[in-house]
Amino acid sequence: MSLERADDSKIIERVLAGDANAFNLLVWQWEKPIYNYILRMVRSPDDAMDLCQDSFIKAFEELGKLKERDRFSAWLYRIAHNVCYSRFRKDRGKIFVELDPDFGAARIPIEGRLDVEKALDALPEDQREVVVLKVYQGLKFDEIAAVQGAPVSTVKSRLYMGFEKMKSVLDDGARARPRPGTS
Amino acid sequence: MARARVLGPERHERVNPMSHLEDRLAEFVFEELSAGEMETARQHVARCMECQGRVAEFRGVRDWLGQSPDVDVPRRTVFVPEAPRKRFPSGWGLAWTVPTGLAAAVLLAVVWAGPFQLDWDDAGLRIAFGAGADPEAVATALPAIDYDSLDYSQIEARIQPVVQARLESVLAERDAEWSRLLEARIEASEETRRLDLLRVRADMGNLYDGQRSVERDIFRQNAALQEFADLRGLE
Repeated sequence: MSLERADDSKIIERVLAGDANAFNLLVWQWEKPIYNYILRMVRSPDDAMDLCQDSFIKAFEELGKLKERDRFSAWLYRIAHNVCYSRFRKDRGKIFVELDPDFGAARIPIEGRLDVEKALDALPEDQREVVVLKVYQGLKFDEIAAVQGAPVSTVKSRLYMGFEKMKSVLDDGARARPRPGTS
Repeated sequence: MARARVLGPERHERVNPMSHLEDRLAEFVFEELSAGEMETARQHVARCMECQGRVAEFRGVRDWLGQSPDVDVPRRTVFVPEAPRKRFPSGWGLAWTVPTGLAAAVLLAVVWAGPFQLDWDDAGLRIAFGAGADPEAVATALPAIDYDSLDYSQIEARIQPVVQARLESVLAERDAEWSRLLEARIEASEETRRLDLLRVRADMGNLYDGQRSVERDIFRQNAALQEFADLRGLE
């Protein structure tokens, strides 16, 4: 049995030909990366699940308008980006109390994970998005530019600024951490 | 001529071997430069301590971020497309009013034109229309029935085959309906199994990608260690 992923463009053809069930295959292939992208943007697992589903519903509705079918993933991230920023605009001015800062910890108890998440939280949305799309989602700079609707140079600037802030957090953490052998 | 030999093909000359990586740092670390540019950049980094430091810092942040890996989706989403709704042909919305209107007009005309009556002598039935119809006359037109003299066994014998035929007809319809439902259920089950198979394939594909990603990371780390060891060897 081949372990290759099914070709997105072929699935899209099937969906557009009337096989609506085939869309579930696209969902299964892209749900985890899209969910994780949204989760790192909105931080709430429940909201992330809802927004992830909204993204796929919009994708299903708009699928016929997708011209470059081999760029489905970048298009899907663009939809997820719009869904997230729509939520940000709606939530602007609200204050959120973090009820479960340790989500996902039971599955992957890796030291420093929370530090990373807090450092990501501290970044402005556009910088955080570039860092997430580049480091975790592995998108190329031109794809991120398409998602954000910004020039590649701007995307790179946001990455450098984000990394610079991350580095200062990392350095602060290293300074605060007691050295081995000292109390 | 010497410069061209170092830089490789003409289209790769964007990276000057003597200049620092500057804004190409991210593309270098994430390996998005072309093959020629990557080679030129590697040669530069091997000689430039400043760029080595920047690359190491950049990779350090990237690896630190990697401590927060992806989580699984709490629950899988399955879309169930709605069956297309059956629509009447266009114009049907008004077409039904024509026969209905005609029937209503005929009925009104009959009532208006009354009184008159229709008699069925065999059945002893009389139907009267119009304001002048006499209820007494209609009532008395019905034949009197002597229930004591009725032969119920004869009536039963006449009804029995009709009821039996009706029962068989209903049972046959039920059987046909069950068969249709069973076939539909089997088709749905096969479709579900097919989709399950596709989902398993997709999950295995993700797993495979994840393993490949880990292998790539290990390979990169080994390559970085080797590069570092080579650099130390050069010093």
